[in-house]
Amino acid sequence: MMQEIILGDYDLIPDTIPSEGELHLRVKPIDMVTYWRRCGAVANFIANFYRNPQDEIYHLNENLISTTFNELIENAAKYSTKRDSDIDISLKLYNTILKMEVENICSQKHMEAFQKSMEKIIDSDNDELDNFYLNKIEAKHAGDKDSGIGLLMLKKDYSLQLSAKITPIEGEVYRVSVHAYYNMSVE
Amino acid sequence: MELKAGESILKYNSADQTVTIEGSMRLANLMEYDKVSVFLNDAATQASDKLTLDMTKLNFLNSSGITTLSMFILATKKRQNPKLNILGTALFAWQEKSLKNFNKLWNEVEISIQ
Repeated sequence: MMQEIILGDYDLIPDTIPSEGELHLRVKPIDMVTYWRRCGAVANFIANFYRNPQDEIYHLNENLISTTFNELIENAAKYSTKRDSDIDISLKLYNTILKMEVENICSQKHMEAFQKSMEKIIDSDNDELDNFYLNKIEAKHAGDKDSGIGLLMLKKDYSLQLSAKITPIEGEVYRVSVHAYYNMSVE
Repeated sequence: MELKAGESILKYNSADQTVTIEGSMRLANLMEYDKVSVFLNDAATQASDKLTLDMTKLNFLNSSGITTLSMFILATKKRQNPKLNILGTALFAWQEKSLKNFNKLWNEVEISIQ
């Protein structure tokens, strides 16, 4: 059986470190794909949860948090292998750093496509990511309807630190967990 | 000319050759965005020399939407007409972060962030 695969600095802030605040949600892919607006509704809810305009330590950028979770949840909904499997969503707060995590279950085909794309995104600098974006758009303009630019955009435009873990479950089924770290003090 | 797309609405005003996009545009995939592409290309055909895309009231646009707008910009670049002017706002992070990409697709696209 394939070993666990780690992409990027997955344990930048390990789960063993107590957070100062946490939010966990579990949704079903069937709910998301049946009523697509629910991806955005969940993302908006999470972004609003820690909102506190009076906070002097940090100002949480709701639009950025919602956009990030929306992209991660849309990917999880699209590529979940079983419609009755779970999508686990969490947000953890560590001083000025937000750790955003989305997990889903997918097929080998989608796992391999995700791994290839994520490796390229994590290993590329900003200039390379710009070229990657331009090439993807050119390819779509030429008729390619395949992989999206969501994760690429999160690193290139939002400077989020991305990482992932791929865990084999059984047969050709895998758990994919994506982490996105956002440092609010950099805003 | 008007189009409802999910939780967003697009309007074309021929008097000032401006498409305004308002709300939250997060459709599921490129196929669902086809109607948006058709609307934008119709507006571009009607505009004589310059088309403004006013996004100052567009709270959210997902990556499929950014891809759709990017493809519209490439199609317009190919025709070299009309010139595109994009109005955005710094109030919404996605605009501040991602609108600049459109200028990388066609350096003649004018982008104004208010």
